[in-house]
Amino acid sequence: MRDTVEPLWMRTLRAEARERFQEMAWPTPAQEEWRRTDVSRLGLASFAPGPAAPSRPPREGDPGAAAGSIRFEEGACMEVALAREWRDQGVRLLPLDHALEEFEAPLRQLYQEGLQEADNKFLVWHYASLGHGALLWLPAGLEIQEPFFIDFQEHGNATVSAPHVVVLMGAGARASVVQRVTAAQGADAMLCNAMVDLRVGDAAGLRYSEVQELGARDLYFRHARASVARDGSLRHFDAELGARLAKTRTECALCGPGAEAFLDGVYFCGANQHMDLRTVQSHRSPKATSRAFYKGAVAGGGRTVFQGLIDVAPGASGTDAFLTNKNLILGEAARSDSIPTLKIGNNDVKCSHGSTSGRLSAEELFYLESRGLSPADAREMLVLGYFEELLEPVPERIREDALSSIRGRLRRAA
Amino acid sequence: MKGQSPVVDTDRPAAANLVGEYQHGYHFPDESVFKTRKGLDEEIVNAISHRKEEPEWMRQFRLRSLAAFRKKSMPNWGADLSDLDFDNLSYYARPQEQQSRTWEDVPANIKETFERIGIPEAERKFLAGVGAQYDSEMVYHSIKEDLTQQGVIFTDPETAVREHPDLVKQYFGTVIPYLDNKFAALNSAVWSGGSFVYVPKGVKVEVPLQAYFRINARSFGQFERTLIIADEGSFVHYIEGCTAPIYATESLHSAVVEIIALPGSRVRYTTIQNWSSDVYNLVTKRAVAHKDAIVEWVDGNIGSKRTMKYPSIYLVGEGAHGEVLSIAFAGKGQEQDTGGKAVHAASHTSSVITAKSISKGGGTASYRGLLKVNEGLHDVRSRVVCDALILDEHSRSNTFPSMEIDSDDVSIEHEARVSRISEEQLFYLMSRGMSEQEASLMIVSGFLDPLVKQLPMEYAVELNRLIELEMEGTVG
Repeated sequence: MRDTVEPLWMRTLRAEARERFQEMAWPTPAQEEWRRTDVSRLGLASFAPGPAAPSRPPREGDPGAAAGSIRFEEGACMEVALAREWRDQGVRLLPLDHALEEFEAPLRQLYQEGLQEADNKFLVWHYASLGHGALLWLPAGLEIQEPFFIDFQEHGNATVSAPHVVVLMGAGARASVVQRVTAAQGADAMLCNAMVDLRVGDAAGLRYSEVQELGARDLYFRHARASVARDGSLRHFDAELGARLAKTRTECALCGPGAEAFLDGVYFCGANQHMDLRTVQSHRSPKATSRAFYKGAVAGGGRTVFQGLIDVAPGASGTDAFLTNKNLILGEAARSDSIPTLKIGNNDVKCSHGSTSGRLSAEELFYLESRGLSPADAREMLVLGYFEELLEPVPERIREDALSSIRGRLRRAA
Repeated sequence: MKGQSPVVDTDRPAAANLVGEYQHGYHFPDESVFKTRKGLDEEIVNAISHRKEEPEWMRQFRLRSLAAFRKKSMPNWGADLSDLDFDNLSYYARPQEQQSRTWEDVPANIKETFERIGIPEAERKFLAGVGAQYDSEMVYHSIKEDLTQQGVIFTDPETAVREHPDLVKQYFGTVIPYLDNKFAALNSAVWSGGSFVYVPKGVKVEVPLQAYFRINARSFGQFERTLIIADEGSFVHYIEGCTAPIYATESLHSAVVEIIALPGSRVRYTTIQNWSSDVYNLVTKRAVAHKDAIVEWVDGNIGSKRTMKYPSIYLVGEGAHGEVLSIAFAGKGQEQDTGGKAVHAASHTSSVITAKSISKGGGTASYRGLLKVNEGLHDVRSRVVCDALILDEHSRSNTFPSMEIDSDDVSIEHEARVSRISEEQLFYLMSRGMSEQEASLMIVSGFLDPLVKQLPMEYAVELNRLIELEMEGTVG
């Protein structure tokens, strides 16, 4: 897609991003958000841009039970399918390079805004290397029960990929998006620098769920940017399971009264993995509600960091916000940091956060073993049970992926 | 003494050049008042050390600290310190036995506060920095005799350097090394005044040791240095500061407090800080709790322009327990960046951090804390609770706790809440005949009650009156 067919504004934006990329330094542990994730030894310079792979015109497929699906392999769009019913009603599901014309105005605005707000080199890098990705547009008032699937199977060979997803929801629209990020089998280490941009319009409702299962040598950077307008609702969920290093930021701005956002997630960090997750509940409007709830488990030799922030602007009265982080520590030499923070700029608020860290209860393990379960089975049952409250409400495809990944890794460890 | 003492105008050029004139060999005129010129360099540090007739090792320590101070960068987090100009401060004023100011110089609002919180006449002048002799010498004298009999050392650190060099060498700067942070380095370079406490094995000091009693003749220092050593099985409660506003002419206060709680001992340290509203209060306080020792910090911050203070406890011995109770009241123009830290470095240790803050009148109260559990430990328990009350729509409250857990056998809980005074509570109290003012005050007092209960009675009374005063003019 990085060829001359790109419109001028896109080339300009890319050039600006490249220029800023050259000027900017990599984040260092002197910056609070990067204090616990040192990127200086990752050999970032060795990752070359992935091969440019312009999408073929979207091939009609059959989405099956889904409302629509789009699939990428090694940076190229392999298939797009959208149920006829929805296409006829104006729904769009497109590879981004085929959306640049039809959606020029919103994309241009989102890209420019995103680049302007980019406060670290990874974000700027993302815009400089924008390649494959998907756009989903839902016209106002359309309610769709069946999920949309977005699959990224990323490529390797010491390359960097920058998948980008945009979801635009008209007023009153409802939809569910299920996204998977995986690595091609047998690929060399890669760096995936992903971004998700979610715009939830007035009274619209979006459920967005993602599972990340990259390979054991891969690096994963992810930035989700979301905004929810008046009476809109966003349920964002991510399961971080793979990658040697995963560093994410999930940021949601509540921009109108009655808006609500649920930022939920689970992470399972094995030996030699490093996961650093950040959520930001940004209350910019009065009378909005947000909840963030993340549960993690860390095995011996793993390291997790969770940094959550509730940020309430001075004018955002009547804010109701809560942030919870729980960590289960499964082995020796495991590290788990939890940093839930509040920044409150006015007095008419109800904000709180809670955090707990601990290991599996010896009593519960004993009880299960006394009922005939092997220690490994008892442990598996308790760990899966621990995640249950967060996995139960998410779409089956994500839940099953997450459960089987966690189960598999617990078994291998045992 | 007032009126008879030589009034020293520290802005006089001659006074400002004192050090400069005597830079070769550090001869100082035998004047009763001595103040270094503005700015900080080796010369100033040498002058301070010389003035205190210190041994060479302490002078070297100060110089090393100065080098560290220069190298260390300012924190890129916490309160806004951009107005702080290190070159425009003077780093040492000789303890003022003779005063440079008169009662008339003390601002009316400070006098008013003394009146309102009921500070005894004799103390007022002392607190305002105009009356050097606070009439507690008699009280202190008898306590001192008692202490001496038990083998307790309670003196200023200068005396300790002279008379107990072995103890000082063994412990000084071990809990807070001079390389720790920029302000600890600064204090290590220019420290002056403070307290040195040593409690021998098994001795339980029954009366709280009050900094008051001892430092009355020396005034509160700008760069206090306090070292408390509680030997095995001993107990001591040390109280520093007071509820009355301290009227300071220097705009930077940067103390270092080190506590060593040896096996089985218990140390309780209580501070109520009420610096006047132009002071930067940047303090490093840290304790080490050995096997089965208990350390408790009770830390109240009412005054100052900016405070950054996070009393810490390193639990290094099995069975150690630490508690931090922190309270902050941020009013107009104030930023209270306070909290507590607990570092678990041994198994079977526990800690509790409780923080309460109130912000009003556009003030910012921030809780900042750390809870750390080192690797390979068992049976570690900790609970961190932060409560914040925001009294009006212009004020801010932040919470930045940080939990770093590197062991699996732990139980860690953290909660934080930010809220305003609830309308239901106000309505209820007002329906019982209280004015809105009275009702708000009652709710705030109730909110702070857990802290106030931890204070000795006379402090509790003064603190309550002070809160009353601070709350004046606040509605809901």
